[in-house]
Amino acid sequence: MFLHLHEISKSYPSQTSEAQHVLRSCSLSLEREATMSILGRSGCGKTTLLKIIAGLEQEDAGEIVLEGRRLNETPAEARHCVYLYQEPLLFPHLSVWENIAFGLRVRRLDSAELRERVSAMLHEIDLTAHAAKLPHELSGGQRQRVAFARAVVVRPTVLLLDEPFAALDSETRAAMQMLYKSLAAEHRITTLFVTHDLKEAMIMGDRVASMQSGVLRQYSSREEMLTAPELGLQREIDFWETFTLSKL
Amino acid sequence: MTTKKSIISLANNGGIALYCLLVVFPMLAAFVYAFLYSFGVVGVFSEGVTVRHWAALFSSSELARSIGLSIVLAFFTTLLSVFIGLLTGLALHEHLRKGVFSTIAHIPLAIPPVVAAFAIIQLCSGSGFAARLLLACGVIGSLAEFPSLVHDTLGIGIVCAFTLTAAPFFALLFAALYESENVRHLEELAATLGASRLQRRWRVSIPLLVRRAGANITLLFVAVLGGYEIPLLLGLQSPQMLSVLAHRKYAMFDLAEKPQAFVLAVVYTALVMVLLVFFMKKKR
Repeated sequence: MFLHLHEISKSYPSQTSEAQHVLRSCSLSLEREATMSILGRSGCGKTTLLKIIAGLEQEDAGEIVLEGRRLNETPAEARHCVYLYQEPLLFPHLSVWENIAFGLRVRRLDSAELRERVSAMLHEIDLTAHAAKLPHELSGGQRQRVAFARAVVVRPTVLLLDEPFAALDSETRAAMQMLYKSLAAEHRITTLFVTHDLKEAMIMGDRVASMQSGVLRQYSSREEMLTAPELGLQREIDFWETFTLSKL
Repeated sequence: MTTKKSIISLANNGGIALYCLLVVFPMLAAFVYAFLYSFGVVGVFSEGVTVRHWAALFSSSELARSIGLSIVLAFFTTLLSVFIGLLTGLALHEHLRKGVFSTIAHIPLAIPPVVAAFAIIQLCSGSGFAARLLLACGVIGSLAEFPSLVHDTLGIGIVCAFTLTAAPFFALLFAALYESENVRHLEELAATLGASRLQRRWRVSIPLLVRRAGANITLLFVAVLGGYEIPLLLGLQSPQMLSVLAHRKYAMFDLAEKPQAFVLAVVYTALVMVLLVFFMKKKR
């Protein structure tokens, strides 16, 4: 398996004597170049799980294995797991070009190759004309595209997306979902995609998992998803069928 | 609705008018007066339009040395204050928001420049605390061996005194900006993009914080450039920083040299204006 999490647990000290358990023995497996959607409500531990994989949070117990290599002790900068926040967090003092080039510059890439890769990426996200602009001069959708491009251009081993479309309007959101899917296919990216939106989870993921109160459940088939009450997929289907029939 | 808008508009215009009346107009009047005085148009010994005072000041090396000294000391003070502020602000940003560290950092903000100058005299003069301590420890053989920072030729004492008052301000400013500019998340993001700790500081935190504090940094430079009490107490007799030299010319027994003080005031204002225009252009 390309990415394997084995019984990851995490708790934080709380005001009361009992620690707050955010993750409880979470395990998942993901094959190369696949996208897994993790569906869950706010505060269920999805972000903590992604941050632990990225190396931004330390797990209390469990093991992270990527390409057969244990990652637990590897610092964030050496994991090649790029984490994208909910909001398109661009470096505000750098232009669009420099934002995309950031990950390549810190890797001290040859300047000709850097120019070539950044130009190609700008072309791919259709922002070549905006290369010299600063982040505050872009729209929300454009900023999100730059954030994607900056992550994809470094060819990450795993891309960790933390509800990246949550702040976008429905039209931009749909466009961004399509853009992500095409980028993921083009660059053959392995992704963990966190969302609280069932439809988005279904659109984006080749695999789906759900998280409730720190417990992760990975579904092996569509049938298993249909019968899982915590997903509410059957309820959703029933609603739309009833709604459509009543409208006809 | 229209009445409310009219009241707001009136209040805004009234505010602008009051600001112009109380701030802009007196400053402008003072500058025009200094300008006219420097050319002999007004003043006790007014003799009609002349460039004699400008020529007198520009023909001696005193002005150039004074401007040079002021710029160099303002530059090093700004550099040192920002450097210390960055180091402290980045290292202690969580502690500087509240608690003991925050209180300690706020105390120097209340210290007037003259007290900072006296602190340097007490600590770093030839017979000060540091000299006596080193003598007692046997590091120096006599007090005369101690490199005094009072009236020193390099102006190190002046830079230290200004830095003493400015560095804590920058530490607090950078700590506040660290929070408000979401720097922690940007650093985390940079880490996942492959940036080492040093690269995160050098390529993300420092340029971002310094850029956001640009106006304050420029204002510190301007304040030191025109600083008076600290260079008066700690500086040499020659060369003197701009404000000290201007005051000396102004208060001299020989009234004929008084217009030169106004020449200095005009030169200082011009320097500050050039600096501000440069900063505004860069900001745009």
